[in-house]
Amino acid sequence: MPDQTEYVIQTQALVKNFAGVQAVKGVDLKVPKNSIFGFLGPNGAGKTTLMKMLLGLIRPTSGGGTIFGHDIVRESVTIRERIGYLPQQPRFIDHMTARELLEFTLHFYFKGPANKINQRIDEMLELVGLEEKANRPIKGFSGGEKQRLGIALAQVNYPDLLILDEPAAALDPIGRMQVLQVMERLQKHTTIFYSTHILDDVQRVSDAVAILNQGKLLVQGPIQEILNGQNGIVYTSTVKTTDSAKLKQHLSSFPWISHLAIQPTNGAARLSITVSDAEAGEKHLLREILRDETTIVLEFNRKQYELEEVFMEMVKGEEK
Amino acid sequence: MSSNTDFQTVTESAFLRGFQNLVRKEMGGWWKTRKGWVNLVLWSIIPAGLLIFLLFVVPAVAQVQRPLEVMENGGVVTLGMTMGTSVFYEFGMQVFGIMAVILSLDLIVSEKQNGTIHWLLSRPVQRRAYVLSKLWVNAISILAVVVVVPSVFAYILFTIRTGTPLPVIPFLKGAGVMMVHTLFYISLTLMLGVFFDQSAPILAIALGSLIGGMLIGGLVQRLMYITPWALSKYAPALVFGNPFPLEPAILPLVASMIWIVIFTVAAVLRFDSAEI
Repeated sequence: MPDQTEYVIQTQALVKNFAGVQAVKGVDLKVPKNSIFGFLGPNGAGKTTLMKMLLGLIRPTSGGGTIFGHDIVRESVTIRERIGYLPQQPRFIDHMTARELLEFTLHFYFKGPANKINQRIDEMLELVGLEEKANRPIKGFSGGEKQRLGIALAQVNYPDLLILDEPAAALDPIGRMQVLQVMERLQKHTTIFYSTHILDDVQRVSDAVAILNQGKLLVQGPIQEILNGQNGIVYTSTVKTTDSAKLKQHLSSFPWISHLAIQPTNGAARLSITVSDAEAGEKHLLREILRDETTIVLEFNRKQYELEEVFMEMVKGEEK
Repeated sequence: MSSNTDFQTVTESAFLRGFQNLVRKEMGGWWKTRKGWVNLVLWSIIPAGLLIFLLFVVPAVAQVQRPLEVMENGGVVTLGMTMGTSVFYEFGMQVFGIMAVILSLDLIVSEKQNGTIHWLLSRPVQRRAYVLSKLWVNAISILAVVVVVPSVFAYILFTIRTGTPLPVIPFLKGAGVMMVHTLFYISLTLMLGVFFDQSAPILAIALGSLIGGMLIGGLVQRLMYITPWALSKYAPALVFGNPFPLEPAILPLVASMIWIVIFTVAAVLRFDSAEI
């Protein structure tokens, strides 16, 4: 786990109530520096509410948090100097052109010199592929163009943290791909904290995730850890054996095997083995299966979960 | 990628962080779009046209049709000036108030409804800077379009009608009273925009005060001292030396100014703690 100072966002027991309804329930969130952090949850899970608290747009009912070590309530303006934000359905100032809006946004941070301002604007327009539309009023932009402009606006001051609320939700597959590519390009410069319910995107670009459901944080951590499964590492194997009971007895004798299931399939047996010690599993499991010379291994894999599988399991488990 | 160290950072008081840039945005909303120019033309043509009609056309027609009546009223010049000043100051001030309400109505509500406010306030901006920039730019623009421009036309037309220039200082004092009256409704509408998320209650309260005020003030005379409702009688009194409708005369003017401050402070405080 990263050192405490390596976390850009940290919240402690963050709670938000709206008219007696608890929208966010005691969330302890930790977003590591320079990560692309996917914030997952079904609609109404509380993702936008939590993001708004981080931005100082709404106040927590209880609990608190810090961004770059600054308090999210008392030092919100200081925090916002280092943040770029893309709202869920971006609406900007329609009468401005993309260039004017970028210039306006940049002037919240910098007053000049003019040539550097123009250079940065050109760079941002190029980043999101809007050079040709730079001087057109935003009211004529498509949804995808607005979304890409929103990313340019969020990034124009080179923030240390980008907060993107559903950056690809309203886009077609090409628009979505472009947004993900921009995010990947930006990762080396900044931390990206983004909410989404498009799980394929998360699995593709994120290195850490958190899952929120009904205001409660179900899990958070590096994506690989989560894809490996929350209840230990699982191996699956298909074997031909004359005595599956003996194989089961043999494998069950190892303390690092926490769960074992054998299911007969078409003259073979399918094993599902959960190990509590990753190293022991890697080094010894296959050897121990092959210990009985009559056993033939047809297939042996470490199980990789799909994020969707993990997500559905957790959200449904929580609802039960 | 170019570096942030190449830039000169914004030097602005932390108390009003973002104010200058927001002022630029609001100014752009008025003067880089058709809004400001359309209103400017509208508020040049309508009052000037109405005054030309009342100062020159109506007395001339009356002189031809009812010469005796015109003579009893002091002649064409006096008749024209009586009608012109009455309409410009008394009726005009109400219309300027209504326009102030209409032009200020959506300043905050529309940004709340369309979500622009989330994006704006996610920048390093103090919330008070957001409210004050709206008040500052819209007060200047509305007063310029709705009060200053028509007053300039009125001054020229009154001077042409009387044949001698009107004294400048009393005229400016009259325009000042009109500005206070208009500013009262701008600040009231802006404050209501902070408290409400829909336009309807804002419109009802602001126009209710403007139109219903005169009726209520007629019933409860004391309210005239602490509201701007009597100010429409003040401007002509200042310009033409007529008697003031209330004594001490200064009280409604001071009360209106205090209300403007109260509305502004209430808007800032409420917006500071609002959930956006």
